[in-house]
Amino acid sequence: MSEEALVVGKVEELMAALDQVKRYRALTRLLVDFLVIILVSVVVMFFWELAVNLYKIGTGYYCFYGPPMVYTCTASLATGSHLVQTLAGVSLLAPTAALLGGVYWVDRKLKSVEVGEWKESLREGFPGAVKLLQEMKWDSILDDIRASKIGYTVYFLVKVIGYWVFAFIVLFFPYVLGISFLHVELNLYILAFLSLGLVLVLSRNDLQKKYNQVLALDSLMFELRWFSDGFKSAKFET
Amino acid sequence: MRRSWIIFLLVLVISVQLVVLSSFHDVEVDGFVNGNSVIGVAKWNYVQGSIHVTVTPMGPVELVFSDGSSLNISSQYSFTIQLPRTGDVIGNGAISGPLALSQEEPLNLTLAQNVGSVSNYVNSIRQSEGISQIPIDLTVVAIYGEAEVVASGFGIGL
Repeated sequence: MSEEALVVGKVEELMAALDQVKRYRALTRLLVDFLVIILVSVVVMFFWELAVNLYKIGTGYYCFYGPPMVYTCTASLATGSHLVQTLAGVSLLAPTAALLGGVYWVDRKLKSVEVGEWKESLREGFPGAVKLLQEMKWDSILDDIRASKIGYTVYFLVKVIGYWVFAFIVLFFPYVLGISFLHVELNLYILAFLSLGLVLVLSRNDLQKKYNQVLALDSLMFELRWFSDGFKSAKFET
Repeated sequence: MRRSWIIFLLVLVISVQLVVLSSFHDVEVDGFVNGNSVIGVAKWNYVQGSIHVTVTPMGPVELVFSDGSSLNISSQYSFTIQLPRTGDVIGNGAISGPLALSQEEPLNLTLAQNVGSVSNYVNSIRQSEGISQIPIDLTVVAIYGEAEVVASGFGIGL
């Protein structure tokens, strides 16, 4: 393989990596939208809770929802507090739906980020590759990589925490059933620990992939910094 | 920039909601009573709420309400006591006794069974409540007879 073809190949690799950075940069911006979605869902949940509480005050309090009441408030349950309890429990659907919807929305938006515009230039071969390198704004690219790395890590952490909360809510129902029917009490800290364990096991491949990608971003930034310094001082004839 | 303000606004709304949600308080008592018994409800005057009471008699039972009216029941009977907000207060207080109140517990409910003289018991509650700097609303329901009682309440103190 000629040296020119080798350079074209390397530039192609670099551009593909920078496309990935472009996606991560978009992800950093989408994080703000994701945060807004989650916050709106929390506002909806609290408004719902307030409405249920005011309803309880207005109509007469029947029974507070929550695990201890499942077995201590039987007389009130018999008089028809199911509706109030169900209404109160429904509020949790808002952040759950927002979490799942938010992750889906972010993933969809990421897929729609336009990449690969450089392929046209690279078809010209070595001159196209050098032209691409010359047009690059190195400082801005390095800044983008830095921001992408942070955004990517934060998004992944938020995702894991969100799934953790979701798993906790899902596991909470068997927990309540366990208390009510089997009279087995499981500490909530243990439940939280179990939920985290479950999420980490289920997302272990994703976790490994994300960790590798953060390391790859680190290494890319290091190499690009070195390359940009060399490239700026070199002279090319195209 | 606009999104930063949206986030700030949402955080502000959530903070206000949390403050309001933390102002809700629930109380509950249940048990079997015999002889002359009392359901007592005390609240600071700035609290609004309601108490739902279910009485399941084991024999003839008479209920005597705060306004002096009475009712003889022989089967399960439920009623709701509405507790309106009766005033504003600046400052906090706390009292002890059978119906202790504080800023954290602005609404309290008790079920005292076999108290002997209902009027003496109610007077003793009134005496302990009387030392409070903050006005207290006291509601009592006397139960004469043997019954199972479940009472639960919910209020907001803002």
